[in-house]
Amino acid sequence: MRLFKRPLRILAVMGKEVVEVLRRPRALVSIVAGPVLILGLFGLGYVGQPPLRAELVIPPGIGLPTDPGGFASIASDRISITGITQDPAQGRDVLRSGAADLLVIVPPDAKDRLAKGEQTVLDVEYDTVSPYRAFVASAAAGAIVAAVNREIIQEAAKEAADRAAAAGQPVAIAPEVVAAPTRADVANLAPSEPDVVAFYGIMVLALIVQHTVITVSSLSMLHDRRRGMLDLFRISPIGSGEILAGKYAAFTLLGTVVALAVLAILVFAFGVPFLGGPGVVLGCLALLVVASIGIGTVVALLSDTDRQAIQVSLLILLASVFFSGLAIDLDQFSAPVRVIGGLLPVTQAGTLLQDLLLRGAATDAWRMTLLAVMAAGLFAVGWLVLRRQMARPA
Amino acid sequence: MTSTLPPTAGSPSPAAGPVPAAASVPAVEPIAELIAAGRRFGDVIALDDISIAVAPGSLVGIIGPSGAGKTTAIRLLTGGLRPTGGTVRIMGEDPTHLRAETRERIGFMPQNVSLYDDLTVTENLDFVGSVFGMFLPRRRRRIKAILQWLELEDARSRRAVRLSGGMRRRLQLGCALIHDPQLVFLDEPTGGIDPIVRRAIWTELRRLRDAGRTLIVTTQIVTEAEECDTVALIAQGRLVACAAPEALRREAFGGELLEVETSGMVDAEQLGRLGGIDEVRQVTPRRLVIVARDAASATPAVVSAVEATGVSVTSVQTTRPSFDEVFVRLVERAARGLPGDVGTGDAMRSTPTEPGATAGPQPAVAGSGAVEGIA
Repeated sequence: MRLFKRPLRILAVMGKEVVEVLRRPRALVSIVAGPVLILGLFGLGYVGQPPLRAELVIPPGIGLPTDPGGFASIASDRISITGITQDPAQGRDVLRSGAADLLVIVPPDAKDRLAKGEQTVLDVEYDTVSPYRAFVASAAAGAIVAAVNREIIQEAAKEAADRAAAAGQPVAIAPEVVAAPTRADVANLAPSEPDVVAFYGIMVLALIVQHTVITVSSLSMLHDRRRGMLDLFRISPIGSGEILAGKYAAFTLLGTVVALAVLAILVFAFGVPFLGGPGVVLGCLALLVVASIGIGTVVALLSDTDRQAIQVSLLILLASVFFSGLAIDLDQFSAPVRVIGGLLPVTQAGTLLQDLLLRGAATDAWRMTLLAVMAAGLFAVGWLVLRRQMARPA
Repeated sequence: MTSTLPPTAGSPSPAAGPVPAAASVPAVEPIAELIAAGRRFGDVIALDDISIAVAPGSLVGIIGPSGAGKTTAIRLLTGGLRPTGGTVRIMGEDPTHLRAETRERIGFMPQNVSLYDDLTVTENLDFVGSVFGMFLPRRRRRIKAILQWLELEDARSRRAVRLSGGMRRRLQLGCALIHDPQLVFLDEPTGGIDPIVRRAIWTELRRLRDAGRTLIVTTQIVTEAEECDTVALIAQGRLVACAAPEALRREAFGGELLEVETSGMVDAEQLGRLGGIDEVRQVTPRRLVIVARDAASATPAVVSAVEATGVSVTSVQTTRPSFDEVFVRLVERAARGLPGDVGTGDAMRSTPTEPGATAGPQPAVAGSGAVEGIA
């Protein structure tokens, strides 16, 4: 009979945790409805980077188009031409008023300088303190300048061709080819081409699961201690391993259900591709949940109050936003920071899930192993700390 | 609370009754023992050099005002605290390293309410029962009996958070007893409970004692000392006295109290010279309080002596001072450093010197404190 008492105790803790969570409507809302709401807002509210608005200053008589339609080749979902003026001062007013993000000034002697074989300098101006917007403006400036160059070369080539034709020496090369001898035919070899919501939504799913599980598991452990339950457990036959096993079982169940619910919304409501095997995806989600429970347990065991635990949980959330690759690509950080980012379960699980769902297989299979090692290591740390706290009285 | 809580199968026989005085049965091994145990928190001495030995099958009260050190004593006994001096033993083991089998025989009700608010009454009991290794059929039977005993049947499906303070306390008591433990620590089980339920709880605790259980109960309701076989009085971290309630009462006042009312003034000094009289206090000209070693045998002599002076005795009655008075007197005596040898020394292994120790309920506990003049 003694053999069956261990599972009995583990099941008791598990059942208690599940019932407690389900009995708290607010907790239930924050666990299930909260993540769904956040994801919904993200999916419905994300409209992507608005196109960069460029104002052009083109002096008359240099042969370049004088209406925005003439630059249709450079207008895209990333750049829009707001207007073309002839006066640089007027263009700067437009930039300062915020109606344009970028001002490109073509000098009046551009055509003459080209005719003389000299390079023309186009002035590009923008007004922003955001490093990101400055980067985008700078990149867009390159595209606009290339387009303007193309127009100038094409115009000059056309004039040259006309002169040659008049002299009875027709030119075989078309002015468009002279202006742009090559063009790109881009092909993405990835099995799916998700939009921004689909790509980042998966990382947001991992982040939601990690944060929710850390918070709920840490508060559960902390409440046990605050209520004096550890004193009761200490005098009872239940061991620290059984307590942890029960809690892990309960939160793995709850966390995986929440993760699957959010994943279902991603797939069915936002059209995120699901190319990987369901078993591997489930395994990845379960490992993320288990590793997150481990973090929650350690946070609780090292915290004295609910507030402290929640603060630490929020710090982990903040670190996860910055260092998981969600907001900023990990390659943009130094090696030590990349290591720290890599130690967050969300980093490994998010990347794995992106691969599994969007590519159908994990390109870095070692991430799964690392996630499993992290989950096991955190369980061991939590168990040792709890065991120490229970076995060694004050 | 009219029903009783039946012991479960395999429990010690109720016929065993209260264990005889440990003092007269040296062979009895204490089930719980503090041996010169002390506990400091930094510079603060919470408990100072206390020795208490609890015999199996006894109901022991650890009594004292708030902050006296009662909970510290319980936490030392349950392994929640490690002593900074001395030794603590539970069923022959160090309470900080009890075996699982030993733990299954111990019940504990902490002072702070340790319940899961979102679980119902039944679910709380069920959870604790499972933690103590009870399988479903036994749990069901036991929960039913506990709910009936604690009069919580109507609230069985109510969440703990929606219970009144008294009901929560009763539920906690139920959790401590769900697995029918042999040794039970109850830290202020009657705190915040109305007098009727309180009385019922004590009745049930005595019944459990009669069924062979050992109960160590703390309370700051001093009058509850009378409910115990043995009382350990603690004040300011020190063991003031430790003996049966009657023995403590006698010790506090030096004997039994006889209140005599007369028709006229009586010479108190003359009465004090009578045999068996230790002290005579003239309360009013016509009212005396006499401290006698045995009130019953002293009464005829007192009446004769008074009437011999030509004054008639209008009334004579034995006075039982309340335990509040006993407690205050013992604490004051301890503070003054006066001898208070009630229950001192290790009575588990030596015969007590206090005559009263053998009267009334048999003391099943002995203790000693380092209070000056007492140890």
